[in-house]
Amino acid sequence: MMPASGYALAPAGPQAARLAQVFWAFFAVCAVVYVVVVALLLLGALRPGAAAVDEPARLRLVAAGGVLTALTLVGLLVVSIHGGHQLNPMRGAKDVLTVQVIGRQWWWELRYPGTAPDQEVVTANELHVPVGRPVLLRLVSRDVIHSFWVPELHGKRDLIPGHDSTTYIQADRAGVFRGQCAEFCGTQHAQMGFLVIAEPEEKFQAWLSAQRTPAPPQEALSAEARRGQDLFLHGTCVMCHRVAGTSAGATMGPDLTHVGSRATLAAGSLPNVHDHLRRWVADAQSVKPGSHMPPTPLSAADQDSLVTYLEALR
Amino acid sequence: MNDALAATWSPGRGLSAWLREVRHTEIGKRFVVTAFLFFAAGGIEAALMRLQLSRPANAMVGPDLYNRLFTTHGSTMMFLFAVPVMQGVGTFIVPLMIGARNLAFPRLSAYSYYVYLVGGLLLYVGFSFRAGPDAGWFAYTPLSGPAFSPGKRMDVWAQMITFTELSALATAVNLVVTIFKLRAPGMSITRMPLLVWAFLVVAFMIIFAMPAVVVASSCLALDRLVGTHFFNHAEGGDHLLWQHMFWFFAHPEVYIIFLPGLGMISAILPAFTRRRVLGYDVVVLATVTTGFVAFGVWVHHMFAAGLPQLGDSYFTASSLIITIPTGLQLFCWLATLWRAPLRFATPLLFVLGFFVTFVVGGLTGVMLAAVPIDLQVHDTMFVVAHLHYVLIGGAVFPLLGGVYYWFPKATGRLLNERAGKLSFWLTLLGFNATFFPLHMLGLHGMPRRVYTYLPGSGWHHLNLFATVASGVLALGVLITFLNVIVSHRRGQRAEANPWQADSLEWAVPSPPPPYNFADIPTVSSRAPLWEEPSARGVVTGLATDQREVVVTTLLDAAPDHRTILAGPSIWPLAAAAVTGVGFIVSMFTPWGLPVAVALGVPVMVGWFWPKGRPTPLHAEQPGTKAA
Amino acid sequence: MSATANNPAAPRSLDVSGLPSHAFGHRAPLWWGVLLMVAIEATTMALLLVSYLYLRGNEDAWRPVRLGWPTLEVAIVQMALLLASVLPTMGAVRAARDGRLKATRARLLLATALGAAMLVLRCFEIRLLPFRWDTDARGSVFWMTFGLHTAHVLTGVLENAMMLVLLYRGRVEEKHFGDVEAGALLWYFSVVEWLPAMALLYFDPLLWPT
Repeated sequence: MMPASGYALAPAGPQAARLAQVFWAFFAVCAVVYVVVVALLLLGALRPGAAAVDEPARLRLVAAGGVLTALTLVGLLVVSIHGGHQLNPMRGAKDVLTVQVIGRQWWWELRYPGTAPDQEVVTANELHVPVGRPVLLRLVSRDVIHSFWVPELHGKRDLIPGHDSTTYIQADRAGVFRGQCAEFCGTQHAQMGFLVIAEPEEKFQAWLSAQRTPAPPQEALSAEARRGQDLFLHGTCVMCHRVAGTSAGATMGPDLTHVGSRATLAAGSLPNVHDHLRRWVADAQSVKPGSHMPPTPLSAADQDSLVTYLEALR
Repeated sequence: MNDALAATWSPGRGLSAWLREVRHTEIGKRFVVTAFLFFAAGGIEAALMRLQLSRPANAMVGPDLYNRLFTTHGSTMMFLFAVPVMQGVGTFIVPLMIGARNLAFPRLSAYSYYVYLVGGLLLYVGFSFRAGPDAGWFAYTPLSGPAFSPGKRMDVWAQMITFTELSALATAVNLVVTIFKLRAPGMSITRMPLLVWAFLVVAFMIIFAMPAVVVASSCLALDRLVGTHFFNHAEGGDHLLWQHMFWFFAHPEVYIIFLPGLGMISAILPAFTRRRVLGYDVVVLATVTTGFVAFGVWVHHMFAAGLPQLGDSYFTASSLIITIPTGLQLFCWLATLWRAPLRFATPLLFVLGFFVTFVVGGLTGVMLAAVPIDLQVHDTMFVVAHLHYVLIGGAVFPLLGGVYYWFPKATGRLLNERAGKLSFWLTLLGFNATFFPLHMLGLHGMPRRVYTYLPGSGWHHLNLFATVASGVLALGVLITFLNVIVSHRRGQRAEANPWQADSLEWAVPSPPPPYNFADIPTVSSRAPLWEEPSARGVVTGLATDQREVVVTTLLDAAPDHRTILAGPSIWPLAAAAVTGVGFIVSMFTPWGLPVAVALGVPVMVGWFWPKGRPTPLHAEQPGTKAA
Repeated sequence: MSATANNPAAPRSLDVSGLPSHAFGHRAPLWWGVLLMVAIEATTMALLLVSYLYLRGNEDAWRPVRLGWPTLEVAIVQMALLLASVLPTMGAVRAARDGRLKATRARLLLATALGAAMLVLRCFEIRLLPFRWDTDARGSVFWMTFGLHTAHVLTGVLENAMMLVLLYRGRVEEKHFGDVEAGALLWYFSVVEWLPAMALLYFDPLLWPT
């Protein structure tokens, strides 16, 4: 079962760990302050005492409270700045993996550059990273402002059109971590999630190589899948989707060359299993109303074939 | 009732008189009532949102409606409730607290209300026709721009901004001039009530902050209507320009909402502690300092936008520093009520509720000031929790206390005390139960502005709990609403000073006659009604057959000259109508503005042209030889 | 009732009937009202100029346009007319303080005529500008700033015109002389604000390499 949320205080990487440290430090101080203030309030309000008020003495206490507040804040400022400075220790490291993250309404396009243009891996909504290696993310938006956020790995960074930016993440243990768009980006902002799958280096390289291969040729497909490919290539799918090794080359929607290998569909909204895939393909609007994928009106048999084909695209 | 003054200052009867009303007490009440109606609307929107979020994958409210709901909720609460209600309280209470008969510019106050009403109606008419805004109350570009928000939805938003900001700016100018020039003789600037200081600071903040949102929303409207490129990065525009300009306004905006709440606490405490607020100078300096520093923190809303780290660090520092003056005010109040013989009436309960609630929000604010923490919880339910804790805890709780406190003055009847106490406890418990869980939801990855969430997220139970708790909160608020409606007709009658409070508004009958004070008082201390009778004085020599008042000097409030205040007039309504027509038409065609100007000129002439009984004439008139 | 030996509890009275019924400058509420309105408009103008500078910082996207003959010259003449109108305005205020009706209105008339002439030239300048508000972001900021300033001058001219009708037609009240001084604040602002604005909008592009 793929995670559907991430917990910022369960860090799986150095940045999230440092952010969590700063959080706990602040939380401890703030909790103490709150208890003190409420205690003072109750002590002061619930015990009526002498009528005479020593104003100068009380004002001195007020001043002391002010000084104490200021000193506490200075301490917290130091903690905050120190925490922020150490946030990207991997800057300048040698083995950085670069991935381009392109935010689009309402999905994530991911591009892993290769040594040559035809070695580039293009996928969607699932960011594979090797454990223990720093990853440099180049963040670009194709339309409105989005925000890349994986709570268990790092704080968020906005994708602002006209202001391409970069951020680092690093997973220090293997696992699957949930990400979500964190800047309101329109109708389906709520269903613009993604997964970060951290795996050991060898597994990651294997995945990367597999992603580089084009779709299986006709001969390798079952009869039903071949029917599905036919429907795909002669239907509306090719207006938006690309499958490497076929004539489908549009880039408006996610690259589907290896859609069968992905864990989720619809930007992390559905597990990638047969029934969900079927439902998504037949009527995406029932899953993500307002998204840019129109319904695909096909007979039940045709839908089965189409889904069989997509499942074969591993 | 002083008959001569009543004849001069009364507005007359009938619809015509109602439309031409310029009394600050009436306009203040209109503001407050209208604002609370919008508060109820915003509350209904929130209830629908909470119902939708009570279950994962809920199909009750679809994404488009949900996005319109949270946009309308935020816009309503910020622009149609929070600021206007403070405008209303200020309009009602400031002249009374300083011993004046009206605001300095009575017609401007009427205009301020009408143009606010136009803005509010525009938003809700839009909403009912599915033409209400849907890109958030903060309307980030490019989502709110012409490419991604087709139709008129965001134009409705932009013009609603224009109307409400014009209204606030007009009130601000009115308050500053009234506070500067119409204080009762002897009420030097250091004898002014702390609430009046709060309104003075807030008025200046409005003057310097609101132009930013007017500029920003106008630039957005122009981008959408006539193809300008302020926020089009392909032609040299910049989306960060929107964010800077919006937040340069919007951060002071929250202090504009919050500082009057603090002022109300200073106003309420003396009556229920039988002490003057300790540390008057500290509270004044703290208020002024907060007003200034509030302009220097706005980038803390943009920590995730990738600005240079050094700049971010500066804004962390400033956002932490702003805690100090607010903290000092809290300490002064603690020192005031420390072991005092408290009378636990409803107004005081809401003040105590402020303490335990606002401080949570203040402390999460300290957390959010730290970039490392903010990068995780920005744009999550954690921030939703924070903002509600500071706005409801910091402004609405004192406001509700103020409602219970000043309702007798405004209407002549007391609110039911038992209902008040019940309302308080339900509101306090309901609020905390609704919003505290949201901190956890944010840390567990739940973003803001999402209409649904996945079943496996683990967010279900806290969301359900918050939804149920919000019912308790709604009930608490509803009880106060009902209390107001019933007590208005059948509440126990109130005398002039039912709380034995210390400030001047309690010297006039409840409700105040149209002229407020039969005799303008003179003042010789910070607590005029707690002075010795022998220290009290009155102003004599003002005409009673004209709306004549005494104008005093700025610092010492020494009497300087006499002036005539404006009386009932139709021109504020006409001006608001022209403003409304002009800006609404401008949503559809740029010719709206020149048309508004053309219509506006005769209205301005009508407004300013001398009429009625003139003030003293100049010796030399046109057509005569010089003396 | 004032306090007497027999009635010490009666409040003491402060008789203000001898105070004047009008005042000038910062003593007058209207003056403060105009000053605060000027503060609002000044903040608006400052924000537009800051926006200009902010967008100009995006050097790769910035496209300055050097204004040449006759546009720049027409703009300079307008600035000269505005500056020239300051003296008669100050003179009108001085005469107003002295209560001299004829001097006040004559000087105000001159100042208003200069302002009106500036607006006429501005109409010509609008047709001379080589870019539109929808050409690019710089054009948008230029036109918005230009438009805001024009609105200020137009308001000032109309306001002065109304005051002139009053001063020439009657009935003239004492307080109208104070109103002249208050109105002058808006006029001074309209002139002064255009100095930094002109510098940025018209002269700054001359500093950029073509």
